[in-house]
Amino acid sequence: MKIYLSFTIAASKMFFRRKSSIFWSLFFPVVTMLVLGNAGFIGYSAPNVGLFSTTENETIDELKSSKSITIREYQSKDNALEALEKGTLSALITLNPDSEIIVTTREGDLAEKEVVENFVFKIINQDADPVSYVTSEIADMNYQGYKGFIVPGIAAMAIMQNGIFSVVFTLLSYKNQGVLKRLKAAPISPSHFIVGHLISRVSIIILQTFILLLMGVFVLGVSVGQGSILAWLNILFLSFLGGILFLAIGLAISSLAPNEDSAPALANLVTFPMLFLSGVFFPIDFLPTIISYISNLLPLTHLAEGIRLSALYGNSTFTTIPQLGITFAWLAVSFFICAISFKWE
Amino acid sequence: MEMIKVMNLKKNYDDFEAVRGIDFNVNEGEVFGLLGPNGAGKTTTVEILEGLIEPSSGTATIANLDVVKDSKNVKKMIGVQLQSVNFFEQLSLYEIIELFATLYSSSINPDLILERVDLKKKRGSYFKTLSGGQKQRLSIAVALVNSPRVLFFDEPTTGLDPQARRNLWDLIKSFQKEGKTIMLTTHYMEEAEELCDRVAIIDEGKIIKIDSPSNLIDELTKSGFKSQKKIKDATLEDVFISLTGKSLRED
Repeated sequence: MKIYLSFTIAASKMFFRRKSSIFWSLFFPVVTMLVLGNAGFIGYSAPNVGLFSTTENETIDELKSSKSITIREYQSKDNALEALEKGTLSALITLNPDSEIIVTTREGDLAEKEVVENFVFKIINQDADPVSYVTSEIADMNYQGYKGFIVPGIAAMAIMQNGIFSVVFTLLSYKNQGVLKRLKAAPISPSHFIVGHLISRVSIIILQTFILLLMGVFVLGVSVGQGSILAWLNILFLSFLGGILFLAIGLAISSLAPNEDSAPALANLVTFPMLFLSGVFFPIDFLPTIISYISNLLPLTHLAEGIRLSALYGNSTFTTIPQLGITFAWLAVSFFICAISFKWE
Repeated sequence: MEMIKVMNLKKNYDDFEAVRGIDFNVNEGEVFGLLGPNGAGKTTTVEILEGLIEPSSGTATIANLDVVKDSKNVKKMIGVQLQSVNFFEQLSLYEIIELFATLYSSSINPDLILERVDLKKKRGSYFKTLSGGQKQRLSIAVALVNSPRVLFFDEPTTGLDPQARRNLWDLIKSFQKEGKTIMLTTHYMEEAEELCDRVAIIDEGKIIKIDSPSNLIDELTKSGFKSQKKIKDATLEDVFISLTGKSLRED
């Protein structure tokens, strides 16, 4: 026990004494988050308008064939509203059987409201459909714009980067320099060192997640956790689980890499696609079907989604169980790879 | 008493035979040298004794403990300096010694050990800031945390300047005075001559000869060998040391 503790303390000291580790795990994600969060990305969700219809008529076909606005059809109004809340839609058009057309937008999205209403009026006029009438509806929902999206996204990204690279660079360099060999000559199992290193890194990853989220709260004005202790606890739990997962993936990469030079390349090969396919910087809802299958298999997708649900909507652990399932599956795969192929020298 | 016993030790890597059945004993309190060219099997032999590599066949014991079956107890009793000396770069020397003391469940005061290898002044410095000779001395300091009965040094002076090398020789001699058993590998013959009570000459995984340095030299000269170079009473290194002084330069 004392040995684990000594290694954990030593690994933590080394982390904070290395400028590059502070840069990559704290400074870089904080700056990225603040820059992207402030940029606001106008039009990040604007072109997508949802359509929910309980009836069949020509207006639907007209709406769908429009080139100026991308229409996504929904089978249930709840799903459509959820997409509106998540920011994947900028407005929702609902067609009722009694010829009522409702344009739903989020509070404060006046431009979206105007654009979509005008669009609907135009189509009705073209069709000379005097029966239909348009009503507006403001959805009462907690939508925080792009900064609300990017803050949990960057927090998840930072967990992945710190987890994978701290193993691939740090552990591998100890291995190559022969530091691990010297530990092997001591009357302990070198796994003490690996475990100590992992405990230290998981703690740092949790700290890093909270620093990023608090920066989001105090600098970008994003509301995180929605006043729910359970949501914050779930973020803590997800950071812990995500930290372990990506550290294990880092170990698996180090085990599989044929030599020391190929390990960082392999790590980049693993992390790079996830940055773009896992909903860190932009929502993945409208990716082409095949790519969205891939996205849904990636661990970062579920970590980002889990943290986002807790941060923005106050979800607790029990409502993020689907996300946890995939994470555990990846953990099992990574541990299996480490167990069969990790070498100390 | 025979401290180290090696019997018909072999180590194969795939189809390469690194060590091809060697036997030797090292007595308690003796400085025993393993001499040989690169790739002769010196490091493999030492690392088997240190419990880092498992032999393919044969046995080796230290203080009657089998190095494979009783590896953990052997490791507790020996001090190890590996050929490539590297420690955690962002830890201070004090922290490194403290960490290793924990690994050996030793409660020794790190400052006393640093004093012993003349690194007390550097106790707060990070490992990466040390010179080559200082790194070697730290590595020896780490080998001392468990007050070992047997010390292994694998090419301890390779790449050091003459001052640093002589300083290390003095240190190794002081361990011998304390009655520790020492096994060292080197390619420097003058080092072996200076330090070793007996040496084993090893080549291509086999021991060719074991004896004391002076017996080996006598044997060669008796056979009619004449050195082409006239042996003088001093070497160029003696000249160098007398001109530049014995004090260490890195500090």
